Amino acid sequence: MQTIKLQSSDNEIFECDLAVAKCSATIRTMLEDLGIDENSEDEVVPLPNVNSAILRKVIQFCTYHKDDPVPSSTDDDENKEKRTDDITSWDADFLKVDQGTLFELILAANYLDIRSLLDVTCKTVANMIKGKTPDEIRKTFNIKNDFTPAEEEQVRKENTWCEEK
Amino acid sequence: MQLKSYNNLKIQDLPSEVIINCLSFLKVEDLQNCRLVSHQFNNFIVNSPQIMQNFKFNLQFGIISTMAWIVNGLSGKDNVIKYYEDLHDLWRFVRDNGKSIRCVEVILTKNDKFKWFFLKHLPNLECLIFNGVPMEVPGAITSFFTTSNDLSKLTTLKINLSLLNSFMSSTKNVNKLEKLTVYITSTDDQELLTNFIKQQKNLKVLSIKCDRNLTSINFPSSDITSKVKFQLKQFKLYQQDIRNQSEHFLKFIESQAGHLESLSFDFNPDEQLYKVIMTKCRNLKNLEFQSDDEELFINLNPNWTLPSLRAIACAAVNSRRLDSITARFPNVNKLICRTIENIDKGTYDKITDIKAVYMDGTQIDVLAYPNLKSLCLETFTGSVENWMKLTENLENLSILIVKFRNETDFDLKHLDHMRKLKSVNFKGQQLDCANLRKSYCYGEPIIKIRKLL
Repeated sequence: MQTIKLQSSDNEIFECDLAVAKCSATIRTMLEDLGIDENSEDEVVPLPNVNSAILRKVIQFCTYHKDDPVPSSTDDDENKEKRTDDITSWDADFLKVDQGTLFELILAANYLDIRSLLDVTCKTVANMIKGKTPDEIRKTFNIKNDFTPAEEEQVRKENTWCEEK
Repeated sequence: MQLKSYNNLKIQDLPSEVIINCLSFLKVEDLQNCRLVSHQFNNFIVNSPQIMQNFKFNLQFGIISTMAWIVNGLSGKDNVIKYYEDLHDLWRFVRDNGKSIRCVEVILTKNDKFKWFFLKHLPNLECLIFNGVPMEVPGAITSFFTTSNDLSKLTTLKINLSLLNSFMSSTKNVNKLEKLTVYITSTDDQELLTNFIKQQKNLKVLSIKCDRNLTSINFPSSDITSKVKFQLKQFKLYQQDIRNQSEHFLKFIESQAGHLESLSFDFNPDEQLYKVIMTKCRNLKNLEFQSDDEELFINLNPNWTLPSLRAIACAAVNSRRLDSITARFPNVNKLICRTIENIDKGTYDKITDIKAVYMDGTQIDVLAYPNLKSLCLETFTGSVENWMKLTENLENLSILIVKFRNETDFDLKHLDHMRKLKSVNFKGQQLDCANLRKSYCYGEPIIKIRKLL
């Protein structure tokens, strides 16, 4: 089995299955475009935007999902209703992390371009918002309310139009 | 395995496309709540076509992607409110019922790409209101209205100045307006406004509001004073930070002085302006202005008074200012203010009506206003405890309009002690108003709950 070495921002080296690393479109492109020799033993792919703790999680995720069928092309799901209740129990367990880690995973998934990880992490964030009042959302994410009463009133007014059906 | 994040990222730190991706999984109801979270969240939603698609998916044509209308006066009823999700339904409704439509309110948004408007089906329109931000594409604005609409019955118009050009060139006989509100968002087209206003002979109520970013305003212009034929009862000019028009403003007020009953502006009057208002506006009942210069106001000629004045507004009310107000305007019974500072002396038993923007319940001494009948608080920011303290002595209060900032803490039982309350308005909040009518009946008239839009 072919392996590849990945280097985190804090200089830790991870050796992982090439198929696992290739879940990341960014790494795929790097290997192709930068001409990094896949067969070379000493070649290390630097990932300056991902720290070791997060990279370990990402590798764990990709290892579990490496044999998943590739999702159908992007235009198809433009019209598909977006669901958030289809997170598998393994993924849900995997994402039982604190908020900061979740956001770091999102950043890493975004940077490494791992669509399945980005999707499931964004869904998790969406689930943290679902069914909450504006105030509860603010508390959840520690966001300051920067609306003046008049501005808030305006948004509420606009929202009212959706309520009457 | 629990991982501890060591750089404590917040959701705001994520790139916008990632946040938008998260939000795109939500349905309309949750998106509405997200819009209220912060400016940043609101902007993500309103400005993202990706999320907008969700709105359309669920609502077909919901508020954000298009317009909503209120239709009044249909088939003899006073208030028929209709909401349309589908523009074709709306169009059919207008085509079939256009003659009985008296009042139309349109909400425009930045994402609005629709260039048409069915004024030609509305020959009896009396009131036309445009709310919201109009399209930013100039081409779209000039072709917004279909051509040649006779709107001879229109008496009320609220419009953004950027739409006025298109409106004027596509309508005729709009010369009997009684009430006009104009939002000015750019320095262009201001001459147009003067021309439009000059045509109006019946105008009674004129409101001009300027956008925060506007750098200059050409209204009232130097030549308008001698050319208008209307006699205004109400005039409102909110020009934000533009401070270069007081000379023309002064002349305009002077020319309309005898008719004015209500005058509002958002800048500090100088002595000359005070003089015109207090010696010439003999019929003025309502006066709103900024009054940062307390000394100037207090030291004005003591003979300048306005016995007709009933309501006065200024930025903040304290004892000293209140004393000079009640001395100068003996019949004032309504105070409109941003905040009320500590009232440390005196009893203002003529004051029956207070409208304030912010209040946390710690500044107002209700004992200073023993006859208070109506209290309107734009936002009550204080705690339940402060609320109870503020209201415990308001035995005569019959009208209450309030919005609680910490709405979840408040309950209907916190109104229970105000026995004479006849009308309560929570300004569109989620307090459970539906049950109030059933459970709160004081023997006297049942409390009327009106939820604002």
